[in-house]
Amino acid sequence: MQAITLELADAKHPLYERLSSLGLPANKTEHYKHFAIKALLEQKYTLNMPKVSTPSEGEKLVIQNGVVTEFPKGVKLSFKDDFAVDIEHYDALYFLSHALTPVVIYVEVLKDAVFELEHEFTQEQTFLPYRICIKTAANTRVEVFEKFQTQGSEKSLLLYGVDAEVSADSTLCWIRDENTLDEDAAVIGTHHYDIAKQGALELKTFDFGSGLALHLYKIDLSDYAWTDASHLVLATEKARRGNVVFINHNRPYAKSVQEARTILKDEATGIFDGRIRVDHEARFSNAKQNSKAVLLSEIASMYAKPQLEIYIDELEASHGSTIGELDIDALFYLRSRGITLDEAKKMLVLAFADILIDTVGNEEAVKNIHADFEATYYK
Amino acid sequence: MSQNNVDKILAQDYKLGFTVDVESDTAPPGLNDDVLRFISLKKDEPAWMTDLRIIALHKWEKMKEPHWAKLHYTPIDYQSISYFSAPKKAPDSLDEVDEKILEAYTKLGIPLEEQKMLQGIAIDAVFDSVSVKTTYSETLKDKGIIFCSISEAMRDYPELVKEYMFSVVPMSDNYFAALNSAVFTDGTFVYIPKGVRCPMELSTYFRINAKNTGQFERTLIIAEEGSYVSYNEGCSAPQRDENQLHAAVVELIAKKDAEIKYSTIQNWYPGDEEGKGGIYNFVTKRGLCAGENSKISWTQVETGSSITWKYPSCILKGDNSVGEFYSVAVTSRMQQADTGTKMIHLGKNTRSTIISKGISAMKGQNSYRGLVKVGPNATGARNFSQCDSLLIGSQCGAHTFPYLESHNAESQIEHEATTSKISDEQLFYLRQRGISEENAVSMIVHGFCKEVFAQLPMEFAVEAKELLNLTLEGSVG
Amino acid sequence: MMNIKNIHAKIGEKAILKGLNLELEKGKIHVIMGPNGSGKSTLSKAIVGHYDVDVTEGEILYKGQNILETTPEERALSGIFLSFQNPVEIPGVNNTYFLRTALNEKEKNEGKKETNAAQFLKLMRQHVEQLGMKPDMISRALNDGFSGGEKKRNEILQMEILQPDVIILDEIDSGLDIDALKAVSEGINRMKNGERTFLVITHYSRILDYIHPDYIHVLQDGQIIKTGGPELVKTLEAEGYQAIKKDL
Repeated sequence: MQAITLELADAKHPLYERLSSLGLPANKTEHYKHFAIKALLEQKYTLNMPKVSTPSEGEKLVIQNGVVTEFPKGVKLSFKDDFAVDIEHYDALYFLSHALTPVVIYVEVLKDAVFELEHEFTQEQTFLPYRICIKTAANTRVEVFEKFQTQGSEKSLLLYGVDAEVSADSTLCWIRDENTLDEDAAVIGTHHYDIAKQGALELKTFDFGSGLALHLYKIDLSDYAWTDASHLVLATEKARRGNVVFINHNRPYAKSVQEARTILKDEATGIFDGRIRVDHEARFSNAKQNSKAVLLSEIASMYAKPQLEIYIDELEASHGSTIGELDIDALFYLRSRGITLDEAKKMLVLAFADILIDTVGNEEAVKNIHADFEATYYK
Repeated sequence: MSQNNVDKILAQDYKLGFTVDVESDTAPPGLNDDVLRFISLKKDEPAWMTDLRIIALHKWEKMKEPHWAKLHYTPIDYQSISYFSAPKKAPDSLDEVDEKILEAYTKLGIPLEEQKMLQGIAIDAVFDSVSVKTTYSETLKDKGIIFCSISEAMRDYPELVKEYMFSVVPMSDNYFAALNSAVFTDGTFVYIPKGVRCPMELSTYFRINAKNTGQFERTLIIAEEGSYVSYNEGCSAPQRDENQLHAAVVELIAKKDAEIKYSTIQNWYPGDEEGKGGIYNFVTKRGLCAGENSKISWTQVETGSSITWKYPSCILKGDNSVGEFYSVAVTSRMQQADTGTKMIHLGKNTRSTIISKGISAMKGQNSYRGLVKVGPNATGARNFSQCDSLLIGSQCGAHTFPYLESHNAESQIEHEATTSKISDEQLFYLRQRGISEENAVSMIVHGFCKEVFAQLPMEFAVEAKELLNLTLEGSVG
Repeated sequence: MMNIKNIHAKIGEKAILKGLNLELEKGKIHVIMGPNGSGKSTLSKAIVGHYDVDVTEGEILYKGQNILETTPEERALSGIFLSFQNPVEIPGVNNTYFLRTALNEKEKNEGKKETNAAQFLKLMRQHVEQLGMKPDMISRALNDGFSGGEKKRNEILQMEILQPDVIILDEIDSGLDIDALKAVSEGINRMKNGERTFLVITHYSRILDYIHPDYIHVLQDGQIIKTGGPELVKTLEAEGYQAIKKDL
């Protein structure tokens, strides 16, 4: 990447050591294999480093081209230059984004809260790295609705990420509605969610579009912690989109449920690389993983890797994965009732997607996600 | 059940561990062009083979040992291995076979004569690196079937060997295949002519014997149009202190309407409780369903070796061709297995089935790694995979790494996996009916593996069950 | 036949049996009734040595020894049979193979000649037919995918083939329709021979119309609080457990 020069050789910091031992991802790097990362990193960009700002208090958390302009009431906002990264993270770009982000946007949520996180990214040919840390207070429930505004960001790369610290007995509900248009930025999100004892993470992501977008997660679960992670991807045209999710059961009674659904049109490529690891310590764990993909076009491709890595016998674990076409019997049934082929396909695709969309509790959010889904589907 | 008891049941001695003292004509340790010339000379090979070996060696020298598998082992010093060892006497009838060799076979439970008489199986027995005896060749010859050692095939059927060897597993396919291509010492060659159904199960027992010799087998099976063959490979090795390297290559070619069934029982020395001394088993097995309606079926029961790296695969090129993979892999003590399959769907309406059963006990680590790939032209392709893991004890691990790729909308890939342990409730139920704990464990494990054992030929299924008992229970003390 | 003396038992940290005494007479049918949570199933588990139950005090004397020190399979081989309340499913393990193994273990233990596969299959077929079970029971996996009624009949089938001396039936009648209940009861009656001892644990009196018990014991709060003849069932039906408790 031409925009960055890092002197890694002299760096003694563990972050740099990890980065240099992992190396920048190439086309053969396991998690980026089907994402065409090399071309993306080799493009010419202007590097836009994140800056410290004095935002005003309002309704949402707004980040405009890397600068916080607004933050919601009830949260404590600061900029941290000594943020402790997760040194165990598997993703090189997690370390790169931290290396390029001397100050992390640090958000402490002190009580129950519901707010929007809006990313505005409007510069063209720009490489924009930044990171956000969200920390919940013990025994609270926090809901974050994450949205993107990327008009005007042609040929740009957004490399961002969330480090979430979910404290004991608290619940973080994270809903991402990512709906980017083809001329917009490529997005790479590289995240770490650390769930303390009896904490919970509800992660629901909705990712629709025709461009490049990849999210990489590491989710750590402590005693009795649980996560319900679901990912809906609709990729069209020449899109490459997907999720790499590593869920780590570190302690007893941790529980995870993971459901990925991918719909692929045109020449799109879908990626689901899920890995659940149950540590030797994590007795009585429960892990379920499921990936389903529907190919709507002759030339679409799906890469699925649902993996289980288990070091203990006192657990329940299962996974399943399917890749296929729409159910031809169902299609025929609908058509025999006079519904056109296109309409019948849409009905079945929507039914397939709704299973995840309908799990979002908030009615307005469901409506918005539906609208975004249809907009991308019909584009 | 207490963990101690389980460990005791599992930690029984390796029943087949013994050494036979035979004077060997062994190549000096190390690997270079001269060693290859020595092997070729010893084996009286044609010059074209010597040249191919040297080409393979030069390719290998440029390659790197792969480390993507979930396996941990001390690095292999390829220059300290001796790449050839042959018994000095080269007998051509059973009477001439060294008595000690026959004794070794008897200990393994496979006396040649008895096998011949009772089971009607033709055996190409490989002792160390050279075929010592081929039985039933005459009967097979009448049908036009060729069943001989690779060395003999090079001499007697050079055109067939030249045409098909390296055609499914190219020399530089992977690091271990390249190594094998350079140094392979012997193996089996099978050719079934058009329309012939091989009337008997073909069987080979491999055995690693001389100290510090790697075993590099090469097997080539060609089934012409409309033919059928079932081939069984069984392996057992005596107990050793140094780790021994094994890197075999198997190539199968099934033409139009042909079917090949390939069954393996692998029981090489797994190492002791600290993982010392077991076999390193890096195998490349691949079948090409070249013609329409052809079928290749792999069945494996892997109970031995300290390291297993093995992915018997099918390239489903012919339309309507079928690939199957049935596997039981057991890891106990410190054993590690990274095994699975690749099903590459290229032709239309190709079908594949994967049934994998992994059992981990004590400190064993068992990984299933499988690729199912549907190419853009494989319209109507179907795959079903079922990967189940059974864990016995809290020190072991079971991992499932499926890779599913589809480039065709009119195809279906389905993968299911479960991980479970033997439940206390199940064990108790059986014990309440008067069945001992040891037998109860064995009963449940066999039930778990049933679908795979059902694929084995009868005699092999019996042996597989006994091996499983040996690995997992056996008589203690 | 079997003498249960002052048994105290826990499941986890919870004390369930609190000094239970019960003597089973040879050749008799003993019925234990009691409200939910009174310890009925715990008693049956304690007798067969189930891993859930921790016996902290007391002894169970049977055939001249305290069986609390013996393994579950030793107890089974000495003639104690438990019909489980919820028989576990064991996929892949063939019903016939399992039962022949169990019978052969018993024969070996008694120094008898082992029944071979052909003889056993014949025996199995007879019993399967007698119990009105589907013939495919012979080839199916042990309890795998069986309905509730099929599982209970399978328990009776095992009992009839293994010919035990002490038979504990833990809620054998729960969830059975009338035909299955009759078939199960007939199986039990076939086993009565003046020598065998039965311990029937039940919530309901329905099955007692078919099997004619000798003794009724009322179990409450971890102890036998009343013992009587078959007439005690009528009192229980009319007045409930509370009435008996008040009597004391």
